[in-house]
Amino acid sequence: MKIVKTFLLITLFSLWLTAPHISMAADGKMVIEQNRCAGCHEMNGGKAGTIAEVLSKKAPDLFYAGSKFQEKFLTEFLQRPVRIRPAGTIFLNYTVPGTEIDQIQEPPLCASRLSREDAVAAAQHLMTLKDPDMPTGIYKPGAEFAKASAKMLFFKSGACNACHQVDMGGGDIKGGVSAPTLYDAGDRLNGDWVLSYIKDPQHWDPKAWMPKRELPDSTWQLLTNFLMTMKKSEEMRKAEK
Amino acid sequence: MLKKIIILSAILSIFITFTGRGKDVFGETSGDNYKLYCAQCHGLKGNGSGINKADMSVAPRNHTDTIEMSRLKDSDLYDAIAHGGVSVGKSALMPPWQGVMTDAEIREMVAYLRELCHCKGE
Repeated sequence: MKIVKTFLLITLFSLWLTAPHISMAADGKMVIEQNRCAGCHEMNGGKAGTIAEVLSKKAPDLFYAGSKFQEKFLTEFLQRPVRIRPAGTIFLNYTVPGTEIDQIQEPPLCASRLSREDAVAAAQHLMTLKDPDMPTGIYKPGAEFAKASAKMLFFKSGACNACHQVDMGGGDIKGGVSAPTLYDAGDRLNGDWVLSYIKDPQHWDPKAWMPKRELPDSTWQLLTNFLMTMKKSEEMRKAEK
Repeated sequence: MLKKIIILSAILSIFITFTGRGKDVFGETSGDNYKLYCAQCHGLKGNGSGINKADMSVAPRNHTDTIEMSRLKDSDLYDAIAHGGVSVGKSALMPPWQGVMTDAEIREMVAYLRELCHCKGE
């Protein structure tokens, strides 16, 4: 009898401990539903498998948000969205032919303007949306790496800056605009997801307009380490305020 | 009446079979693939004016330039698309698309480039 009582007490105590998290996650789901995030974002795992489906996308997929993002970034973004894709989610939808250079027509910005409380709850819920098959614990934050080799890889052999913007120093933003900015990759993304995505973009987006290369795992690790050092400069943060 | 239903069902089955399989059998058109993968650098019209051009150290090739494109062999175009610019002695800014487009799609892309330049290779 005593054992049963003790067991019940432990169970009740555990429930009490986890209750705030459960209710927060439920609230977050409600916030997302109330704000109709699914009106623009795919929340249920429907990957775009054809170009026509890609063109119909209004905003990035969120059904693996918890694998992709950092919670702190989501919490800030949901309160005050900033532009991550200079030419919009799907560049083809906002680009028109030009003589010297094609022109980008003002792509819409995410309409989310949540209160801090709602943003915290929504971010917590989004962090529960994960791809269970993604390997985790591979990226080691703060690990030493050959930065010169990583730079060569990023700027020369990989030419990643052809499509992605990076900070060349002191807020000097340079690079292509058809893909998401990378100058804040280390603030925004989960290292393990970065590694998984750059290794096989089409696993996440079957029609991603990013090349897939066959390289050794050590090379992907090196590139991930470099990408995760990219953080928004003070100058950029001030300019956003 | 029964005959009509059977005929209609047969037509419907054939329609569903072909439209459903169409994307797998025939893939995307080369024009659509060009827009999705190539236009970001080479431009929507193929004239080398893609939105990524501004900060590039080497300008993307103008695929509508008949004279320049005539100097390239089809095999050069295939290699550049499949294995990247470096494979044909050009810039690494041109990435390899072999892992993204199928071999058939790359061959169709070579043919599409010939349409854009209104030319044949050497």
